[in-house]
Amino acid sequence: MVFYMRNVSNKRCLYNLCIKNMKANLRRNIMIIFAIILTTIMMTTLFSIGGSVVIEYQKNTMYQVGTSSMAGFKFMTEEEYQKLESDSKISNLSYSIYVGTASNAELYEDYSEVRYVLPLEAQTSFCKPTTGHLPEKENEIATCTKVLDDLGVKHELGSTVHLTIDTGEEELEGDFILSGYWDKPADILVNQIYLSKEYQEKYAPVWKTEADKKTNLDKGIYSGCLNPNFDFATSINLEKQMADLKSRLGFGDDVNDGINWAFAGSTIDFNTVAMIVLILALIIGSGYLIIFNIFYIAVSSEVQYYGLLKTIGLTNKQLKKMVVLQADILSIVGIPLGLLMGYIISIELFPMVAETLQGISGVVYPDARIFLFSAIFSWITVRMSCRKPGKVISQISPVEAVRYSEYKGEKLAAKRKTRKVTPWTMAQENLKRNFKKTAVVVLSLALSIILINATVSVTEGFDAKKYLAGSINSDFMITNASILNPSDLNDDYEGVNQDTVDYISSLDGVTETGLAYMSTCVQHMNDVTLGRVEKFYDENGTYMMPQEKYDAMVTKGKMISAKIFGIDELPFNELEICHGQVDWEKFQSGDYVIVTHPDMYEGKGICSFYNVGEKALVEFPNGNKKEYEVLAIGELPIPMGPEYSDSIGFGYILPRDEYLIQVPDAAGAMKLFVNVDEAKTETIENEISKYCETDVPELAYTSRAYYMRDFENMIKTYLLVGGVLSFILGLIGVLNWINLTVTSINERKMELKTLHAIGMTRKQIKAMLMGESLYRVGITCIFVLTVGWLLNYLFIQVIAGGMWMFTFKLVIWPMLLCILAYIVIGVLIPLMIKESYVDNYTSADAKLY
Amino acid sequence: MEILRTEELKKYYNQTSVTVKAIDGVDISVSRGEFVAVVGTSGSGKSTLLHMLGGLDRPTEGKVYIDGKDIFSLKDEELTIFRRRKIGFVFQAYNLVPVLNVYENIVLPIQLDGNEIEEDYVNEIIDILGLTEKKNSMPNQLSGGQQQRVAIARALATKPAIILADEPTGNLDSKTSLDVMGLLKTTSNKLNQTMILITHNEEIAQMADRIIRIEDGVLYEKC
Repeated sequence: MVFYMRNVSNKRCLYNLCIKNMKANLRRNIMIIFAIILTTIMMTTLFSIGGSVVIEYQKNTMYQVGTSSMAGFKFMTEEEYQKLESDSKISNLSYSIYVGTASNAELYEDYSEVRYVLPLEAQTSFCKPTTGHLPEKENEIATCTKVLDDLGVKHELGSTVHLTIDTGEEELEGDFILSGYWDKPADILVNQIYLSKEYQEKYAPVWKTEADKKTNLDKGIYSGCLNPNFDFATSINLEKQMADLKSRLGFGDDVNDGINWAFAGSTIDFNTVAMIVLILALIIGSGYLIIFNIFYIAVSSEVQYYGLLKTIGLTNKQLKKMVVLQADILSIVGIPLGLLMGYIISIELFPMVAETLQGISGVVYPDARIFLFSAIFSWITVRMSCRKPGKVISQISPVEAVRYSEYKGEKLAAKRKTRKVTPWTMAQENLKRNFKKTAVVVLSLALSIILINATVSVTEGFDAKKYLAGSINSDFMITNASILNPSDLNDDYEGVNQDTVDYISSLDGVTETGLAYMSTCVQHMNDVTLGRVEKFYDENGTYMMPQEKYDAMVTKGKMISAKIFGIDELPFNELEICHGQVDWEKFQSGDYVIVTHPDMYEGKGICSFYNVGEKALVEFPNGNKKEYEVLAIGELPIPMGPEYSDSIGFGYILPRDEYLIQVPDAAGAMKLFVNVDEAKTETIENEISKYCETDVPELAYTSRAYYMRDFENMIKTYLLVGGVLSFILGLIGVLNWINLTVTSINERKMELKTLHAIGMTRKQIKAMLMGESLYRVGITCIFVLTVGWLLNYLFIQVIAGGMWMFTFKLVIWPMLLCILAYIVIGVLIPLMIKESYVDNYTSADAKLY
Repeated sequence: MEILRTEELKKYYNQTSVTVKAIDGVDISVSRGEFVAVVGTSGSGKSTLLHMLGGLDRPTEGKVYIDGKDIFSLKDEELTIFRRRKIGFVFQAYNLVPVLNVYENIVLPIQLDGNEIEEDYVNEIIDILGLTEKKNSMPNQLSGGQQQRVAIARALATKPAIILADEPTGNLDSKTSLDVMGLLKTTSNKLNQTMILITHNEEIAQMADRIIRIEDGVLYEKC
């Protein structure tokens, strides 16, 4: 007789078995669904937020670069452009011709460039008119609504726009008719004002030849330069493609090229990737832990059932299929719910995360890929979780399963020394029986503790003083708006005039004001200082300044650039002095100077190009010269300075009176610092805000309160994200813990009943179960305080180690608090379980109330 | 001297429409040192009777006196404590605690009571039952017969008023069964222990001083 292996249709039958089995274990299945939902929520939140950050970063980078093209050239001539046009490997070529910058006073705060553009260029630079069209006639103009608002022009085609343009050579002025406008994306830094080809050719004729280019660039004039942008076939390795293109066209190093870093892949740095991978691993790990645990316990408590199915003829494959099928059915219920809830949570959570990341708007993109990835990763987690249980089932021998004895699977020593038996020692011994499961519980509890401790440590380590000191050193700071706008290249360092100072000083509640003046001037060095500069330059490498420029200026010309500051007592008190003693009275005499040090001095043993007590000859822009004695070496805090630094250069700090004697023609101060009566901060802020917005629009201000809010928001976000993550981990741990307790009671039902029969009171049994619980907390403690402590340190270093406002602080109270909470839970869990496990000698299971 | 007595002991289970009378008016009296066997077919109610005699299950009606004490007048926790002092159990499935070694299993009821162990006495029992070599072994290292001997030692260790054995040889082969029964009988004789034993094995029942037959919850005594 021959048996044929036939492919029988048994799907229906398996499915029925599955459904019946699942219905019989409703409580457990609800727990698994709950776990799947939780895992999916975490996945979706991670992917939505992570994905949105990446998308926004790329968009932002494009905005910052000002184009969505892959690459481009700057300052080109028409000749060069024609060469470029002939290249066959590039596409979407377009260009703009630079005319100048808008110099209307209303536009001081909003750096605006004037250009002629091709339509494609307008589109790729995100500045395509949405109403109207690009200028065609000489008197037409197109710009964004931001510029129109600044100029007070209505958003209406045909409106008149009065514009002054600084070409670098001359000031152009004229009235134009609005032919088109658009809403500029808020993150685009530079405003664009477009004029017609006719106008551009008339006032800023395009550079035709190399000679045109040279004459203009030598004078520092860019008006008339042609800036092409284009795409390559792929965005992979743009650097090489650009280099190849340049060599094909025979362009030398003098041709200024640029590639769009939005495509460079470097938009996401290593740290971010590491963090996302870490969190992903954490979520998969924790999801796996709980789902696996429930499946595993379910399978081991149903060994007899599966053994029975085997004896009646189900194959291993079919049994495994049954487990997988159950997992899939539960996933179908859990994953969509998790996706939805996760998406809702990310919408709520992302704005808070976005606040800590500069330039992220906090809008979650409902990208299909986000849901797809979340669903796939959740499903993988579920599938992974039921692999081992499936394996366990297939290893059951049918006979063994039917006779399943209570000692099975427990690895106990053959012999053991006798010790006194109490509920506590019994609890200790019991822990050894399911050590693997205990380890899982301990691990998730410990991780949650470590994570929350690290989170709190990080936020505690954020030093408000350091943060504020790096951002602002007075209650208010008022300066020309151009200094606070990083995209404005023409900073006005003399923008605060006496009227402003008088007005602000007169406000009720102002307790102290102080000014800082600044001008720049090239200094001639003597041989001593030249020697020091050369030594510094040799030691710090040529990246400090291009070799040619250095040779020409320093080696040959013995010259170096310098900033000269004139300061009041308020900024004087904030000086960061590294050498020498300072005293306002002595300083004010006008015979002394405080010299700054180069940025790189730290760790190099060089503090400054001068020593305290030496004489320094300071040259001023108007030709004045005066020799001062060096009182000290020190630095103005960054928020009190010009907010840029020279890689190599001198800095002299003088008292204001002395500065004004030497620079009598200073148009105004660089910055005004204001300290106020705390109670009146708010009213004063309103006054200053109004003043800077309407009265003198060129001015802008920042305040301590603003940075403080910023700081508090950042801390809140960290606590929220870390708190949510560790709460989820903790919840998983506790769920596993409850599950472990309940199933371990069920598994040794007979044993507990026997103990009760031979005289162990309910109280003693409870004490034993509680002991098991508390020993788990104890092991968690040991783990947390040893390995966990290292992990804690590692987490902190990864998250905040590199941040400037972070000071490492040893924080342990969150750990202790968590341990305390877990002790309480450890006592509660056995109390929560119905005592029916000892009630009737023949039946009853342990169940949660 | 009477050590155990029941009065009109009844255990009824109410199922949807019928009342199952597991035990229906049982009166037994057992004297000190007596060895009584309870026999009956499966489902006759013998295990239910034994559980009630041991205070593991409360009767629907009637009373159980052990050493003159009405055990069901005790509160639950008191009953448990009474049980560990006065009653020794031997179960069919041995029911040793797997995480405790042989010696710890034997002295468990004494230690749960917080009492000092009478080493000589416990060692005597261990010796009689031939477990001296195995004192430190864990239960999973023992054969069925050995495990049951440990269970017997555990039942004897507290010097209980009465030993209740529920099919103690049910899981053992016939040779081992006779060995274990022989040991059970000699030990209880030596220590003058009272014992009630449930079995469906006539041969084993014959070793008892007295046999009680139970059918459908009703007692038929035969001598």
